[in-house]
Amino acid sequence: MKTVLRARKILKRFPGVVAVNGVDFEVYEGEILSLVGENGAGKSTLIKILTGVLQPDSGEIEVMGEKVSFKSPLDAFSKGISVIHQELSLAENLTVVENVFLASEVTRGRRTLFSRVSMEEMNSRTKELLSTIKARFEPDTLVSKLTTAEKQMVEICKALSKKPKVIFMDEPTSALTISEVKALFEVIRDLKRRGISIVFVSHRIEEILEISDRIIVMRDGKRVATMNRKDATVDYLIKAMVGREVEFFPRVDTNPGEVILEVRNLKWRDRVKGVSFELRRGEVLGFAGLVGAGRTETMHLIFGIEEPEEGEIFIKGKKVEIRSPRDAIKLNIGLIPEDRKLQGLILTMSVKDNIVMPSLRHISNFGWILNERAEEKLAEEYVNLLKIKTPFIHQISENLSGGNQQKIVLAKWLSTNSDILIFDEPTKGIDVATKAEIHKMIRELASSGKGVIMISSELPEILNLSDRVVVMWEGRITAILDNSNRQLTQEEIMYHASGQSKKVMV
Amino acid sequence: MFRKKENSHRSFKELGPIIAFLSLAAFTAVLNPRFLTPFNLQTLGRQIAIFGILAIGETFVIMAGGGAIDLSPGSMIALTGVMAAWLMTHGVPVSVSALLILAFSIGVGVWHGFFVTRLEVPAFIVTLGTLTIARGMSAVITRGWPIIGLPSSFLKLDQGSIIGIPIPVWILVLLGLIMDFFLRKTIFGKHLRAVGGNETAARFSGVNVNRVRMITFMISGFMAGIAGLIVAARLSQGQPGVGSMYELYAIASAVIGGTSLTGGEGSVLGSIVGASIISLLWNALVMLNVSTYWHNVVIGMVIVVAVTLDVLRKRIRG
Amino acid sequence: MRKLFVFSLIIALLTGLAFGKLIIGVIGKSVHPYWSQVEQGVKTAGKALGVETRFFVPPKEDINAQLQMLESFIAQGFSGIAIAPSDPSAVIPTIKKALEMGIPVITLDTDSPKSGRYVYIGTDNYSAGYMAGTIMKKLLNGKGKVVIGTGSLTAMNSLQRIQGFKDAIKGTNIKILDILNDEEDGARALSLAESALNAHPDLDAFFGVYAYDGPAQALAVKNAGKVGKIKIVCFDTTPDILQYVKKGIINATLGQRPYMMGYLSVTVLYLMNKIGVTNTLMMLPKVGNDYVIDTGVDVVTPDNLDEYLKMMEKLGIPIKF
Repeated sequence: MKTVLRARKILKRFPGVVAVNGVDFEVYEGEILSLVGENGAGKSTLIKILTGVLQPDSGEIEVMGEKVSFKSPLDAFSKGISVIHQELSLAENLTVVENVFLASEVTRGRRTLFSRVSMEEMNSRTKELLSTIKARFEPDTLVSKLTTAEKQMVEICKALSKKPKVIFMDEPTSALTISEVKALFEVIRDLKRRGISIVFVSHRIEEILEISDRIIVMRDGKRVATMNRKDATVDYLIKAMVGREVEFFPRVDTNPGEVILEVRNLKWRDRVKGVSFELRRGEVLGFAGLVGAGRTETMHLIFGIEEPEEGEIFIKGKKVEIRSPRDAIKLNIGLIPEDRKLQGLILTMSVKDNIVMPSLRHISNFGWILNERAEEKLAEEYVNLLKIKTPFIHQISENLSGGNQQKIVLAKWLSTNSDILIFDEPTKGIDVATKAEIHKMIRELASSGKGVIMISSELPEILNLSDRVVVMWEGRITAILDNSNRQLTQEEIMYHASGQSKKVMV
Repeated sequence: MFRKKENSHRSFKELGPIIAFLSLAAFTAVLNPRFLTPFNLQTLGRQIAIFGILAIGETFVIMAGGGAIDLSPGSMIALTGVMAAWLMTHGVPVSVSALLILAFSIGVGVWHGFFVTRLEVPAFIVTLGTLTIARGMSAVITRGWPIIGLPSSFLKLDQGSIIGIPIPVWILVLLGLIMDFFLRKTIFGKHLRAVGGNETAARFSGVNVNRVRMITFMISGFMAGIAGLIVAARLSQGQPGVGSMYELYAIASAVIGGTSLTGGEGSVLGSIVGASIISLLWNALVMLNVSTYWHNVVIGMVIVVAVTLDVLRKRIRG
Repeated sequence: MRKLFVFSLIIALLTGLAFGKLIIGVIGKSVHPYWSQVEQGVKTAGKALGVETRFFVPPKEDINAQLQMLESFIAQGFSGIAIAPSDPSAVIPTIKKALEMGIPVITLDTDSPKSGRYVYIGTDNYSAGYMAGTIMKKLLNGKGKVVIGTGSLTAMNSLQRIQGFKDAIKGTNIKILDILNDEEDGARALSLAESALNAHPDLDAFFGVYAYDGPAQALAVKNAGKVGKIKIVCFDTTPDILQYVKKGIINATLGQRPYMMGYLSVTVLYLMNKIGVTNTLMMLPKVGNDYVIDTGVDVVTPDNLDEYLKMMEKLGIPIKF
């Protein structure tokens, strides 16, 4: 087999930590290679080095046997190394074509900053690329109008326009629905058939086992294992990643108590079209559905981020008005939002400051003068409880890994001691070990008598953690299913989530 | 041990500007020993007080992030000074006039806050409007004539001193302590940094973002009012042309002192040090007999160099 | 908006025609006591002669605002226009246009000789500065150290005054230590004056070029306890300056005669309408091939202050302090 990309003894230090510690890495022609490891294992840093974003402290890189040194992502790009980032980097205000050819516009004649671009040429080439990956939107669509999956297709087109040899995909599935993941895998396999190698990064073990030809496992900055798909099992893979056995989906018995939250006929724009449900103490109420089904929006209405246009909310039987998150917090509701960087954390502030933020009023003197001692005590308590890995509680949260950041968001809301906790995709982009910890915690919260709502797009998570499951489709609830004996199946939920039941009912 | 680390981090932050200030002062004193005469230091102190007070207000506004900025302080100095002079020369007692002026300037802050938070007009535009309106109103009130004949009890506000230190400096110290406490030791201060750091996350955490922004504009308005009174007392008159460009000096002071223009970061001490550097330049350039043609060139370059060094220092540390 | 504009224009023209009254427009430079004295003169002359007057100043010096107003005056068919251009060359085409349309145009305070305006009415800033220098020479007995404070290092009036001052003290032992630019900011003028006192303990005198410079210098001198030791010569006759003159802190101030400029501008334009341009010009002083009216300056000192105040009151500009 031909080696397309080879790296030897890559070393990269950051202050206080060796992120990548003498790693060898190779990609063969036309293979799908998965790079796995927990957050902080050094995957991201390695990818950044191989795609020219970072420069290694030592080590060498070869492309097609030729030694190279990437000064910038553009260098890597021109050598046939493309990357599709986890956070898509498209210009939302431009069209698909404009994005595909951004900074490499096809011009009439010689290319300068002021040359006239050849729109027809770019249009037809984009159309061709879109058809090769079976995308069904036009080249002149505005990117802001596309779904996440479609935007990813644009990214792939952008990469393909450069005739790449290797495409790195950093957690491409984390924001996709199941059917979208399937479609993406089709595209990936098709690329493979055309001789393009894919380096695939994901936290979802099932996906890795499904798509990979070969798997490289990293832990603590080192390459710890390499396996072919036929040799890999879930347990073996996880053990390699975590370095120990991990317990999944703990069973904690719960007894649902009184209704703590009731929502009647909530309506908001065309995203939430009359949603009603009840939440009891001691239960985990799962919210399943496709991305865009209105689950997040419903929770935002309950938490006061947006005000409902119609409908009523009752807490412990009493009708309440929630106009802002402040109101919701006063009513003992907590929301762990989906996007931790945008909504959950203030990255420029310390771990401690983030954790105490919603509880400040209770632990301050006279309700307005800060009590540093009390803050530190509270923060340390939850840092220890959730095992947040930080050198000290005054560390700026930006410097922590994704899993630890998510734990800070959790700590923030656990420390308020809310009765109602809403988790929106609590394990999105989180490594296996942390994921298991979070699952355990969610169950424990319910057994301690809290009402827990959990939105998740990962069906195993929904099936194994929820006592009841609400399924939404296009702003409406299509089913509320009992799961007290964990009797639900993926198929059942998918049936309702795709609006099938609605069609039958109507 | 946690505490220690935070404190060392804090004092380090303003160290650069403080060193810059002290070395500039030492440099001037060596070349012209008269720099250190009490009278000159008083002159310098009065100037620092005016810029320092404005810079503190500006720091609060800028810290709220989202491109928030207050362009009105310069013109507000003229307007509040002129209004105060008008009131006092029309028989309103000094203390009542001063209170009315401060209420008015806080009101202007509320006006800014209302447009920014409720109508979502960019702060740049609203306060640019006030910059023009306030300057225009002072011309309307005075027709360009300075209003003179202010009561001598009012003039003490600038010209008086306690144990040799001019009253404006005392005011600056007092306001500085209060505002520093406000910024570092209260929920409001923490909320302000949160809003500046990530407005959405702050809202999700239950921070009343609009109220925080509103308060920053009220503080900035209040500070401009105080500075307006001091300047009027300093000139012994209400002068409609005074204070142009002061908002830019205030912004520069805040940034030299470590305030991040993107929000979330800033300190009261830092902005006072920033204001001191700019005020010192005004004084030192005359002390050093630098040709007046070069003054603005030097001031501009110092601002750029000071901020650049700070940015570089942050990058090296980060 | 445009319709409204045209409409009001027609109304203005009609009323002008219907009453057959002359409308004379005067455009000044900025909101400033100086220009409100000009306005006073314009209004008084208008009343005396029975003509309607329009007076306009932009808030700060702004040639664009001036041009727009000039064009609107032309469009409304005014009987005569006087302007103090902030930029003497930028106004040339518009003034030419007005003249072509038969509207007499003159300049006041600041001239634009190449525009073809009929007359310039104003003070010669150079000779005023020269006079200031002469007074300073007398005050210092031809020997001493002076610091100059001004609001601009680019404006013509500032440059001419300073040049005049310098030329007047040429050949004496008077030395100019520094020229300080306060950028038209009174508070900075004060800081600079204080700094100058600190930097030069042997200073003998200040020369203040702009209206607020004199008072700023006087205040600094007073605070430093150097009244009498440091002489001050400055420009303009705002109440605060006269206050300091009365106290003897300012030794002499040069008042231009803005009131006269305003009054004469209206009068000359009135005459041009009544007896014709040529006939009017024949009565005016001729300098070479040009017509210039120098309104001169008043030198106000502690000795003649009362006299000056009485004269101003007679003109309808009572100055109280």
